[in-house]
Amino acid sequence: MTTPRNCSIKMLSLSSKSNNLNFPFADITELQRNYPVPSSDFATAYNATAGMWRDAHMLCPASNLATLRTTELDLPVWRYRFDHVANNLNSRGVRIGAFHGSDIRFVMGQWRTIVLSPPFVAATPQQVAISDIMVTAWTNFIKGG
Amino acid sequence: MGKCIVDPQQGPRIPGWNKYDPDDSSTLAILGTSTEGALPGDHLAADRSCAYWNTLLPIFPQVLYVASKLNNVNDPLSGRLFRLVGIGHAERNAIRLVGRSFHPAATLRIHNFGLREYCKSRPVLLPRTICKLEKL
Repeated sequence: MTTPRNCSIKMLSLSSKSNNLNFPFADITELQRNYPVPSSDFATAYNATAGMWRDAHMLCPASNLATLRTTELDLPVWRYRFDHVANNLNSRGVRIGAFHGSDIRFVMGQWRTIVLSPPFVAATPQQVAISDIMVTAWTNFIKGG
Repeated sequence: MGKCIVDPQQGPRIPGWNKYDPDDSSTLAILGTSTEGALPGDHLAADRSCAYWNTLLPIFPQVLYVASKLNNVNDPLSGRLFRLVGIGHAERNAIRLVGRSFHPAATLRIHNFGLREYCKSRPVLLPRTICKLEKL
């Protein structure tokens, strides 16, 4: 017998399977055109597939939301892309580029925690300065004019 | 009395970071590369792949609203299995397909909502784009 709870679990399972993600529906020609390997943007297939996931699940929804809020709802939007790449932010180094969530320790002023996770290298003066800029911008937003 | 944002219209303020305007490619700020502020320049090139992804995004998530419709036992489509065959634009009661088909093995189980509800359940990103379902 199907109960709401069973159905919820079933739906959770379906949502985690690949046939509910974008790639089974993908157009190979379009993907190769948008994510050429090797290229300046995508040195390896690893970078290209990461870029596909980034764009499908993060970048394009954010782009659409920002654009529609601006054009359709006439609401103010401030949009940014965090492009800081450094070898002390994760154990895989710079080859993975700027990755999801890497801006959090900067915007929250938590650069001191960078040294606490692999590869255990402290934040640089440049990273502290970047964090200070972002914290200042956010707090100025809250404090108002 | 709680405090509130005095003037939210001013937004966050970094030198060179302005309110986003889709028609002004310099208003997508690049942060994290300069210690002075937002990196100036044309940055909307980062969105170039969205023309492609926006042909797919409207059909996802495929199961988001199922749980909320479980009590709709009168739905004639409840429990049916459908094949997702394409996306298109709604024109009154008609569906105009965009002109491409999807993987034939991709299937979608529709539990308790009909085609109209299903297609109305994803208006956030592209309100006029809907899916077409084919009964197996």
